[in-house]
Amino acid sequence: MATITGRLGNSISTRYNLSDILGARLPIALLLCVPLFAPQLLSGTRLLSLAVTCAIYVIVANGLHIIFSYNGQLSLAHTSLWGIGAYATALLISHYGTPTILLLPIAGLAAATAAVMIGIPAFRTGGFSFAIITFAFAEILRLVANNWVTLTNGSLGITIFDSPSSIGPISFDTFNHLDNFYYLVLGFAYLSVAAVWIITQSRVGKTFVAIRENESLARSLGINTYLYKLIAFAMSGFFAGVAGVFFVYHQKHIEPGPLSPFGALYTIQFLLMILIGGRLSVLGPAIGAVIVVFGPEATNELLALAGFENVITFGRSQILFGSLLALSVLSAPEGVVGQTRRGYHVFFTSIRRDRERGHGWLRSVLMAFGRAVIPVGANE
Amino acid sequence: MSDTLLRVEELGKSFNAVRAIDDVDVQVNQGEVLGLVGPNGSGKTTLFSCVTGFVRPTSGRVHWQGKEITNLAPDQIARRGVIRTFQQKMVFPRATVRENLTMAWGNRRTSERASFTSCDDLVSFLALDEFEDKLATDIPFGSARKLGMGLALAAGPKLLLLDEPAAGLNTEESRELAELIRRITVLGITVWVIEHDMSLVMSVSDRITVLDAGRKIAEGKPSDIANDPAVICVYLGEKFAKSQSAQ
Repeated sequence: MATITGRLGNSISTRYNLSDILGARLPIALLLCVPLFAPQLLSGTRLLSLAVTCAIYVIVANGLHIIFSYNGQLSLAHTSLWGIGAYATALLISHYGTPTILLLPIAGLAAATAAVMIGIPAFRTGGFSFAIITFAFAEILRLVANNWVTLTNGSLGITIFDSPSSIGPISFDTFNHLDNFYYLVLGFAYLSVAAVWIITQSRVGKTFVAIRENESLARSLGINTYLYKLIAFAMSGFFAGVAGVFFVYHQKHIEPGPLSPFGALYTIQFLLMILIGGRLSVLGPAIGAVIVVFGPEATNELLALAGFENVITFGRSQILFGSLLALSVLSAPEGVVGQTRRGYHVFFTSIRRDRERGHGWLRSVLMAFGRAVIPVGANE
Repeated sequence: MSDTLLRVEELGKSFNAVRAIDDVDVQVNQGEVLGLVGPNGSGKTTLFSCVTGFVRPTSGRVHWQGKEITNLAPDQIARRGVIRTFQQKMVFPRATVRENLTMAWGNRRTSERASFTSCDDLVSFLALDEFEDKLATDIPFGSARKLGMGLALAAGPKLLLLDEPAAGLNTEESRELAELIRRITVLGITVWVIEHDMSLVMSVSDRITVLDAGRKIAEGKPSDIANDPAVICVYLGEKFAKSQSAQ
C-alpha cells in the first residue's frame, strides 16, 4: 500500500513493497544524485555559477521551510537574516581574516540571534500581524545596513576577494576552481535537506507542525507555543546565516540594494520556491529552487531552438514567476512534489486495479499512465 | 467535604457591556465529576476559558491546589494538570490518529503519568485501534471527539475540563462517551464537564452547577437540580415553573 496522500512529509511507513520503491524511493534517490553531475552537465562558468547560486538558495529556502511550512509562520524577514549572515561574513573576513570553519557557525548564530530578537516581540502576535512585523524588521535592517556607514560602508557595501580556506590540496578558489566550490556548497545544501528531514522526524519538529495545525489545542496540552516558535525561527535563521557565508564567498560583495538579500524581491522568490516545489515535502524547496533558478534559462534555451534569442530577460522572468505562482496556487496547492506524488499514487493504484480486473499488462500500464498524467476525474 | 482541587472565586468576565460571567464561585473536588449546564450563551465555555487561561477574566481569582493561577498562560496552567478539550477544532487535522497522540504524549510535562504506560495503552483505552493510521480528518465525528479527549488525557491531566463532549454525537456514541467518562474517573482524574444532553450529564455527574446569563443559579446533586424551581424556570419558562410549584 502506498500511503502517500496528504501526510505531512513525516509519515511513518510500515510496509514496503515494489510500488513504494519504484513509486517513491528510487526516483528520489536518482533525483538526489543529479546535482552531483552539474559540473559535467552544465557547460561554461556562467551556468556552473548559476548552479552555485541554486545550491545557496536551497540552504536559504530550507531555513524558510522550517518556519513557514512546518511551523506555519509567514516570516518576511528571512532573507534579511541571510543578509545578516552575509554581512557578518564580509566584516569578519575583511577585518580579521576569519577562517571558513569559524565563519559558518558564527554567521549561523548571528542570524539565529537576530531571528530570536525579532521573534520575541513579533510572536506576541500571530498570523498576518506577524508577517507585517517581520517585514518592518526587514526594512529596519536594510536601513541600518544602508546608514551605519562606519560599519557597513553604506550603500557601497563591502567587497572581499577571499575564497573559502583550502582543505589540504583542495582549493575552493571561486575563480579557478569553481567546481570545487560548487561541491562544497552542494555538500551543505545536502546537509540542509538532511537537517530538515531530521527536524521533521523529531519531537520538536512534530510540535512545530502541531502548532501550525492548531495552536490553541497545542497550548491546551501544555506546549509553550511561544518558545517553540522562537526555536523554529532561530533554526531557520541559522540556515540563512550559513547560506550568507557562501553568498559572500560567491558574490565577493554584499550591499543593501534592492537586488541584495535585503530587497523584497528575494523575500518573494523564496516563498515562491517553497510554494512551487511543495510545502508538505522535505524536498519541496530544493526542487522549487532549481525551478526558479534554471526555469528562465531552460525557457530561453527552448525558445532559442525556435529562433528566438534571449526572450526571458530578468524583468520578464518576473512575469513568468508570477504566472507560475498563480498556476501552482490554483491547480497544484501542494506544488510539484505534491502533484508528482499524487500522479505516482494514481499510476500504481490504477495498474493494480486493472490487473485485478484481468486486463493485460500493456493496457493497464497505458491506462495508468493516462490517468496519472491527466488529473481530471481520474481514479477517485 | 473532600479535597478541593480547583476553587473559582467571584470570577467575572465582561466583553464590553456584556457580563459573560458574573461573580461565579465554583469548587471542584478531588475525584468527582462536576457537571456544568445552562442555556446557550450562559457563559459555560467562557468560564472554562477563564479557568484555563485562554480568556483573561476581568475580576476574581482561580486557585489550583491552593495556589493562584488566575493570570497564567494557557500552557502554564495545562502543565499544572488542568487540561481542557474543545468543542470545535479538537484535533490536529492533517496528522494521523497515532501522530496526534504521540505528539501530545511526547510533550506532556505534568507529574501525572501513572494513568497510562504508553501511547498504545491510550489508543486501546479510547478504542481507536482501527483508525490508528487514518488522518484525523478522515475518521468519524464521534471518534474525532474521543481523539480530542485522548489528546487531553495524553497530556496528563489531574483535572479534565470537557466542553460539550456529546454535542453532535448519536445515541450510541453518547452512551459510549458516558462510559468513557466513568472509566476516566476510575483512573483518578477529576472531571468537569459542560453538557447539553441532560440525561448524560445527570447520569455521569456527582454534582451539577447551573449557569444562566453568567450567574450561578443552582448547584447540587443531580436529583436536586432536576427539581430546582430556578432551573426549571430557566429551561422551561416561568409559567411552567409556577404551575409545577402550584401542584
